Amino acid sequence: MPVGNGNTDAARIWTTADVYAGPYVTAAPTNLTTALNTLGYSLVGLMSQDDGIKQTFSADESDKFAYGSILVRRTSIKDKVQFGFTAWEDSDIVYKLAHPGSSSTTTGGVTTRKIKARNIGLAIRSLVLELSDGSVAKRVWIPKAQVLLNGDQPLKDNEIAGYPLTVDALAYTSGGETFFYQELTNDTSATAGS
Amino acid sequence: MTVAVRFPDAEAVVASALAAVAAVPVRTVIPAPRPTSFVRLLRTGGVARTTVTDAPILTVEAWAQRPSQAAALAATTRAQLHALAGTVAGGVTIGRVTDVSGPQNLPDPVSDQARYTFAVEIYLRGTRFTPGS
Repeated sequence: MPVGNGNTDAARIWTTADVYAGPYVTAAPTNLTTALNTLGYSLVGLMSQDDGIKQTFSADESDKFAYGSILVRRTSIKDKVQFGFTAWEDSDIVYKLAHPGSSSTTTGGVTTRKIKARNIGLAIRSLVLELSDGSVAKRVWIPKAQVLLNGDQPLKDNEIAGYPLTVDALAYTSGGETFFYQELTNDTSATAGS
Repeated sequence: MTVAVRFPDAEAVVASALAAVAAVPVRTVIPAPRPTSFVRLLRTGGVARTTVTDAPILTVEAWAQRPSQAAALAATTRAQLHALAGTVAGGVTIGRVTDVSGPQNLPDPVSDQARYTFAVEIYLRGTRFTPGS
């Protein structure tokens, strides 16, 4: 195949990534520079580099065939967007994301945590994913994010005891539009209509 | 569609970025006269990991007067290299930095000067290459 005209500068590899969490509903970032903590978000902290942030799109899909094995249509319902990452810090913010409704108190430098059955209603937060690829930046605002601890936490001597967190982007309505998440980017390749 | 990508000179890019934060000279060849303490970088392998990302393996030599000083210099340099991840140096985006080989006490066999070495893999983004350019 001959060398083509593709633009390698438009291929994104997110070399840095951070996750910020705030209560539901914390305002959307309106630019790529304002510090997110000034909007009410807290940095979740270290994440597994190897796991990265995984984004999954799924739906119940079904093929509709006419007699003669003629594919006429494929239906897709129950669209769903999930994000997943492994938080590495055993901090209070991660604990509260992992165990919504559980208690935590600190007295005299000693913290007591009582892990209870998850209160799913308290698992709904607002998140922002902050990504960069050189000078290209992106902020992903998930206004209604249901965060659940989902997977194994290794308690051993050769792995970090990370918290595998799954984030379901729930539908959110604002300005007459219902959406899962909103992106901001300064990527010129993404210019609308380009 | 396929495209050609030209990858940067890994030694030059990383040496320049490292020199900006290092307290000792950073070179890709052994300087003459030889300083008492310096860092040398050599590309010793690595392949492209994606269409736009090269992943050179750089062997790093930390030279000093005594082994303990070389060990400390190697530890500092290793941390400085890992801190380059996610930065842009000389127009080149630096991605993940991972250890390939940990520090080794490997005195120079010729001069017996103290030297620690280690190796890292560093992702560097390439740029579009037009044949004939």
